[in-house]
Amino acid sequence: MPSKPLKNPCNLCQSVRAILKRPKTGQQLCKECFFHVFETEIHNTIVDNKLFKRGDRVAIGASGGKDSTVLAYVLKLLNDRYDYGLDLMLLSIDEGITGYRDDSLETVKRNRDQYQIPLLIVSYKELYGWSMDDIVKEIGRKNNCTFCGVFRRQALDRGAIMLNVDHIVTGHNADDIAETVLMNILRGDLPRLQRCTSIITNDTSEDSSGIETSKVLRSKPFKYTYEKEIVMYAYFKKLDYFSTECIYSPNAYRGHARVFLKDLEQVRRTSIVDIIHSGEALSASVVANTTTKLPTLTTCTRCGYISSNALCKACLLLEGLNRGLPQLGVGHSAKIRRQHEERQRDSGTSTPLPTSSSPVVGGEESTVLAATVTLPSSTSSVDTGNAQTKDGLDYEAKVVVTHMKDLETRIGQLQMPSLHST
Amino acid sequence: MDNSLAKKGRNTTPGYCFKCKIAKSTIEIRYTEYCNPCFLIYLDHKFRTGLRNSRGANQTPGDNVLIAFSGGPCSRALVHLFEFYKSLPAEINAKNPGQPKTYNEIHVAHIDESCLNTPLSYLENDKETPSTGSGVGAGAGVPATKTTMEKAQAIAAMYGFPFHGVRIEDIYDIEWTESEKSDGVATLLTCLPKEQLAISGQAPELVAQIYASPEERSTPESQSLSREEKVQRLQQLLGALTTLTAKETVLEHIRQRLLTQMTKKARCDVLITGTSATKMAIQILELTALGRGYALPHETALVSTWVDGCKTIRPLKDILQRELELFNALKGLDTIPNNGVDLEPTLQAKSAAKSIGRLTSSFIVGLDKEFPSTAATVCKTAAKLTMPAEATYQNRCPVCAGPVQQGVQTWKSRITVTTPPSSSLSSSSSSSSSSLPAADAGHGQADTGCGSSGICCGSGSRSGALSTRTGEQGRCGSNSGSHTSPAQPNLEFSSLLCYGCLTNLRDLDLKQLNHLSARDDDNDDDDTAAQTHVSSPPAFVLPPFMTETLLNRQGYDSAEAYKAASAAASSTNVRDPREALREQIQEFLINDSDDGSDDDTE
Repeated sequence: MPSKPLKNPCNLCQSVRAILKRPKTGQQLCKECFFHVFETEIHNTIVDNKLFKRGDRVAIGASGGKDSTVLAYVLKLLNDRYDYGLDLMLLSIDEGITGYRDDSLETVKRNRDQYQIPLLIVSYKELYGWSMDDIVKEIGRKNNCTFCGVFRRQALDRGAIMLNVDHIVTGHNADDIAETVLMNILRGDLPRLQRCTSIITNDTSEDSSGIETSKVLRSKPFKYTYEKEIVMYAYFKKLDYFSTECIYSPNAYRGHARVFLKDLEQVRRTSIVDIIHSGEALSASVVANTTTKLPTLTTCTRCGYISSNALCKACLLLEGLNRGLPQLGVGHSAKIRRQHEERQRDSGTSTPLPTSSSPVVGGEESTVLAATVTLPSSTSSVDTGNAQTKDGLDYEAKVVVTHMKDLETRIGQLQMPSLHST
Repeated sequence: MDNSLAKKGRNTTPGYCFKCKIAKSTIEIRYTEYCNPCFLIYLDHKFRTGLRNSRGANQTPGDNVLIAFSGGPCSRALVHLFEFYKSLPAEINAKNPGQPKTYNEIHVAHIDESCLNTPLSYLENDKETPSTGSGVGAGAGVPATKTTMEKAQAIAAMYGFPFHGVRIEDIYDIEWTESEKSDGVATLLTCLPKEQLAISGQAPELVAQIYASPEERSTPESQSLSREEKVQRLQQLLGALTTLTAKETVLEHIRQRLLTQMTKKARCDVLITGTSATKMAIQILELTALGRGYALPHETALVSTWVDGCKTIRPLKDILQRELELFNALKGLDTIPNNGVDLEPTLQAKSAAKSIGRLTSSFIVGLDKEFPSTAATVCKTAAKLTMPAEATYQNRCPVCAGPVQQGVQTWKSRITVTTPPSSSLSSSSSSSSSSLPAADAGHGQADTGCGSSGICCGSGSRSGALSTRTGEQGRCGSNSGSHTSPAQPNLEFSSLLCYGCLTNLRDLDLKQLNHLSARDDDNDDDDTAAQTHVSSPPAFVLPPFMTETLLNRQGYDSAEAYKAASAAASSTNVRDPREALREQIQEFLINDSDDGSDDDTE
């Protein structure tokens, strides 16, 4: 083999036969070179953006899907290879979607064992008293993703506080970011256009439901990583992930953007990176326009979390659910409130709906505390995570592809605003 | 719909005009019903609002304007709206001293692009006259009827507006440079072949052979090229681009260049385009997808003053294309049928026949049907963007004349790694000893990556790459035999480009030219003296305006390079990659004193 000319040599090392065409560049690579460029790009992203400090406790938002599974694997690998000195943890949200999340959580649990990373699962049911199945029963299939997205974002923050981490990383990939750039242009959402390309976000930046003063950072190490390459990586590494879409369907508008993006990628494979580049430039352009007012943040009068209104979105949605007015906070709240008041007038009762200024105290604080009870036994082994890194690298678990699309990518999905909301 | 209107407090009766409330409505647009007369008034008001808003705060009345008139529905309506505006009685201005009629002379400009179709089909026609099928099709392309130029001129004459027409191939005339003088000629000699580009995964390497002044060329008559020569050069330029996206983008740059230069030549102060809201929304998304987000604010603003000496305004940018088409229909205005720039014949791969522009267009049009406010929302988004101040027109991209963002090549090389495992593993691991690796070490690694593939910012391997190139160039010079100076300095200019053009020119493949020139030779090899022969290495001539910018930027950069070089002499090699770049190309930079001495020797 050394003397014989190779039939289809890898473009990089020239010494091994290429087995794949890299989606990002079109180069033909061998497996090892692909792993190398894939991991190095993520490493570059982490280093250039100074995502972590030595000794940081980092929670990986894990859904069991391909992005978060690969993220957990790669972070652990890079942490060992480059000695980041990070303390890694897995954090999962159980939305309570039967036939979808329960299966994907099994995958996360396997990942916990495979990578020897401790895992915490927080559930909607315990945090809010409502599982997604309950919510869907209440409000139907339309708009339920608004609830899921808003609640998940807050749930992640609460989970992070329980784990006492400094940082949450999510598996948002380059496709997700490019798509969000397009979405925000299409929807005219300047504040989000401004921040959707930033790789680190403080929770103060997101849509009305962040956790107050927790100082938990969020970042997206896969910002420049193509979705196709993540799949490729998982495939060649034989990683164990769950690959089914959420059973509560995706939304049409974002679907359009996604199809459009795929078309663009087909015409020019650098399109995704190009869009992100544009998005970063546009972000500066939004800031440069001093006449644009970006929303100022306050804290929610009810739960004390960061909010752009007096009442945070999660509290508003929850209030709607508890009052049997699930449309509250979805779409035109003013309209719904007016309709509600008319109905109240007709029936002679008068219970004003919560407005931004009504400081009703909900049952939320207690549910937060309750969630801690659900810490799985594995969290007790938090400290062992790093000690076992060496072994962790060699995992090549069998592919047990169950079903689901990642937590992270879904996060913003129906609730269009939020890329960050994972 | 009735509900939504009622809620907004509008007093309206379904079926009746929303304005006069007397006439039956005949038009429904943006959820509002109009009768014909009211619609025309509404549109005219909208247009004048656009004009008023585009007026600068301290603008003196009496500016001359140039209307970019393609003959399509939007610019056709624009020309008519201006007649309306022009014919307004002066008393209106007297009554409204706060709103003087801003514009004085109104000129109309048209770019005839028929050469993009006809010469190709003309060639085919010649070749295949016996075959019936293609003969008929090509015959239609030959302008038996009036050219778009003639039609446009007729329309302008109808309104009594001065007319300025130009053919798109005239971009090869020297008058379209900023200085309107013959500054130099640049021939794009090499870029990495497409396959090699795919292998390296890097930015394209673009090397131009530059003659700083016409005396250096053996063919002084090149200053006034024949039409065939210009068409041929344009075809070579477009022919070397392998995708429809790239062709369309470069054509758009050429159009923009012609229009802004026409504005100046016509002694106008303002260029007015008929960009509708629909077109604007498409453009916004397209620019984003092309990686041109940095230039987006100035390319889509109501008023753009990016180009020196040519303000661009887009007063129709709040009016939907459908509204303008309606306006044309009601007024009985004829548009000039777009004889569809047909770029596909030169494309080899079928997948290349889709373009980002066309995809975006169908995406927006489709979305606008389902969500009717899409176009307006997108336009409003972009209207709130302001370009960061650091970019200057002086430092513009030679190809698109847009703003250039610093450090894009480094950015790209960091997120798209193209080095084999061994090299970077060693450098990375050495730098990651203590905690997280330092960013500087990472940069060093990226730089060697670039350099080894001969692209931009490497340190060690650079000289090797250069010498190869010089050799190549020498070969080229002797083969073509059209240049007297034996060794012209070459300029690697990919580092001067903006991100969008850098990306776009990845689709450049000079090999394509062999096919093209082979076809040309079959037909008219005696006509053109400066013909590129099949045997000669593929190369094409850059339009003079690009050359001019290259030379300017080069002068600008060489001054910087000297500074950088002297500074670098003492310092370590960790510094701005652009400066390192400049230093490396320094010996290939021409400055004015060199030019002078060259002239003397000749």
